[in-house]
Amino acid sequence: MPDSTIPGKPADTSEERVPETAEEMKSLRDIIVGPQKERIDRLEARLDDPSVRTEEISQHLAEALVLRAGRDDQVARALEPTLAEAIKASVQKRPRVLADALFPLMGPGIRKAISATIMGMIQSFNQVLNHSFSWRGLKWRFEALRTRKPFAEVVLLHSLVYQVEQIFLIHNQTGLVLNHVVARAVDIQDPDLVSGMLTAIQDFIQDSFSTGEEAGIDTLRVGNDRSVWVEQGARTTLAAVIRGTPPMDLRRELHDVLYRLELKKSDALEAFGGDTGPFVDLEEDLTACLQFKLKEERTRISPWLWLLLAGLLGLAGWGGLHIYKEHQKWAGFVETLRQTPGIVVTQAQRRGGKIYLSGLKDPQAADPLALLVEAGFDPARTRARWETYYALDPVFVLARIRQALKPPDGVGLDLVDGVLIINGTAPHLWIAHARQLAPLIPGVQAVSTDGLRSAEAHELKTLGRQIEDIFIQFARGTTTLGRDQYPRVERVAELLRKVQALAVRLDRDVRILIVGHTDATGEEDYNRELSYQRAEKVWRILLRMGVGPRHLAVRGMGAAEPLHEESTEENRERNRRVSFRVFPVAD
Amino acid sequence: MIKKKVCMLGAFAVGKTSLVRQFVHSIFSEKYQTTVGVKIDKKTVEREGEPVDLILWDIHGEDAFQTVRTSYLRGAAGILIVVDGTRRATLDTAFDLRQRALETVGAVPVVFVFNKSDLAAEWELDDAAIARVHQEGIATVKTSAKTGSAVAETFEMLVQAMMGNQ
Ligand SMILES: Nc1nc2c(ncn2[C@@H]2O[C@H](COP(=O)(O)OP(=O)(O)O)[C@@H](O)[C@H]2O)c(=O)[nH]1
Ligand SMILES: [Mg+2]
Repeated sequence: MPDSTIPGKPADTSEERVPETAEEMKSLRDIIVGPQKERIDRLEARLDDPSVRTEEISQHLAEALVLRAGRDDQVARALEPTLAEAIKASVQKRPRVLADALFPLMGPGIRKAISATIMGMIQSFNQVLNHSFSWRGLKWRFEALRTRKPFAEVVLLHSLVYQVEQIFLIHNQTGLVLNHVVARAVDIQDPDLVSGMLTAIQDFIQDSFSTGEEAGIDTLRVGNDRSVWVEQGARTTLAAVIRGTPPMDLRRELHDVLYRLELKKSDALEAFGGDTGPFVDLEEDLTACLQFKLKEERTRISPWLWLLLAGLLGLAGWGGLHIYKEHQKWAGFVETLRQTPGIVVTQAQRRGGKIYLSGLKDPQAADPLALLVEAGFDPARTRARWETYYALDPVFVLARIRQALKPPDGVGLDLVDGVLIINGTAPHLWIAHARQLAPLIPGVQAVSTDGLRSAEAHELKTLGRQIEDIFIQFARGTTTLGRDQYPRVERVAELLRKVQALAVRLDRDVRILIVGHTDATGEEDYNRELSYQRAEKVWRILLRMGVGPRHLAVRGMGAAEPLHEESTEENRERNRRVSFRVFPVAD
Repeated sequence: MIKKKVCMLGAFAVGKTSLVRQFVHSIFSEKYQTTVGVKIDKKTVEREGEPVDLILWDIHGEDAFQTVRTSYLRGAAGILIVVDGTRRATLDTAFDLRQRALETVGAVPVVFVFNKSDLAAEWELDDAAIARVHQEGIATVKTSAKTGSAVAETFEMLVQAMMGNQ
């Protein structure tokens, strides 16, 4: 039996029997594990080769993490430090990626903050304006010169005096007050009513300008130096009534308080059914928001020194004055724009020599660009974006109505509590048009046309009266028309044709009676017959003259309706006649 | 303190504002109602010795031309729907409004208030009509905002229904 070795291994020659054994083992192994050998080899390779192992683990890592995370929080704990490091490194290296990811969440907040800043600036410019001619204003202007700060900034500094007078915690859904705190010595109105109204106004704004997630108010101005800051949370709203100009930080503080309170009372809010008991203990948190800042003490300077310095200012301040005047011009324009009825300014900004304006504008409002030109700014360097809205100011509603209805002369329009009252006389078609259109005009809640007359109906009445004033005379005992009666019949025919045309236009029925009469002499039966024939005669002539047969009816009244007492032959003659009656049939 | 939001609904000129005026403490002028569309008033009533604040939302001008903003109904704990007894059509409006209100706020107590009882001679709605409303399971009451007849009772009735509902 020749020597043999296990392939790939050096033959062992020190022990004679081993090769035999090895040989036997090998054949034995081949017999037993031959089919599995390949698998075992692969398993060995897998355990030895890290790259294969990584490949393996990667296939099940996610499932494994899920499985473990469901059991305890070890995975999170293990990963946390690494993740924190990773995020830090990533932000340092490529800040944009994170910013892009977060922007949709933070964008609205940032926009709000920016607009708040702009509002703040405008407010301070207002104050610049207010104070520019006062003694105090002069003082401040000097201070600006002394400290080399822009005048507006000085004014702003002086304005940073405020007091939070009241805090409302309002339940969003019902508008009910959950809690309310007041700073001492402040006059207040019933908080429940104020809160309800505030909620209603919020709703109103949301419904009217529904601009999506961001709708609603966050600042309301009350009078000259009071504002209401509104912070809206998921279930509650915090409203702060503030006198003066609070720092913007306060906004964030209110936000934080609201967030904390909602968290603290989340169960009570969930279950809220009108009982404010569970919210009584929030008083302390809310009272903490009643902050204030006192005006700084200032040293007095002699008026003489002031005079001297004012003189200096006159000499030295031209450059500053120019800039200040620019500011003032701009602030004046923005204020004018804000005061212009039918315009709501949401953005008014000067950046890089350009003017950016946006907001809401009623189609009837004055043209902002015209105001801009008037104020001395260049419309070519202006970007303006105005969304249309409908102001509910009665003046606007009326202007809108005029524009939409184009009332003819003789029509009066009046708006009382949202009810449009239309008076006067107007063409039939216009009335129909106005009745349909008026209720659709924004700001019109109802329409009253009780005092409105149709011009055609009026004309119809006038024509009727004219016709009824005409009598056709007859020779005694005949159906022969008296002398010179034809022109009268012609006149009647002409008027009747007008009546008929009007009736058609109005889609209205008219009845015209042609009534024959006799004098009182003669038999009653005879007279009745004669009077009828007289009427019929006129009827026939009228038809020949082009009057349509529709609407016409013939009657004989005999002597029953004398026009005059028959004391003279002349009066008797007058009673021998045909008269007319025109009845407009109401529609 | 228990507070409840209550909404006044009903066709134009049925007497919503007059009923509220008879009953409440106001600080806002009724001008607000036309501009913002709603006016808030408050009345504290007593129930079982406990004060209950009713915050009344009086909604402006409801008729065929205008729709009630659903946001105003939101969170209402009770609703008074006012009908003008001298105008039959206002009852149809009332049923419409009730339907819409229930769709918005769910099953809150509703009372149909038949107002202007002082004008008995001009009434277009007889007792049988009111009884039919009652048969539909709706609470009804006859009031006059002019004389004040049954006004306080109406609000008490609603409070009863709202608190019983809790
Ligand atoms: N006679 C009488 N008139 C009433 C009564 N209630 C309201 N009115 C009158 O009805 C009109 C409309 O009332 P108002 O309260 O403004 O109705 P609203 O539109 O539902 O708010 C007013 O002229 C009131 O004076 C009432 O009980 N009796
Ligand atoms: Mg009203």
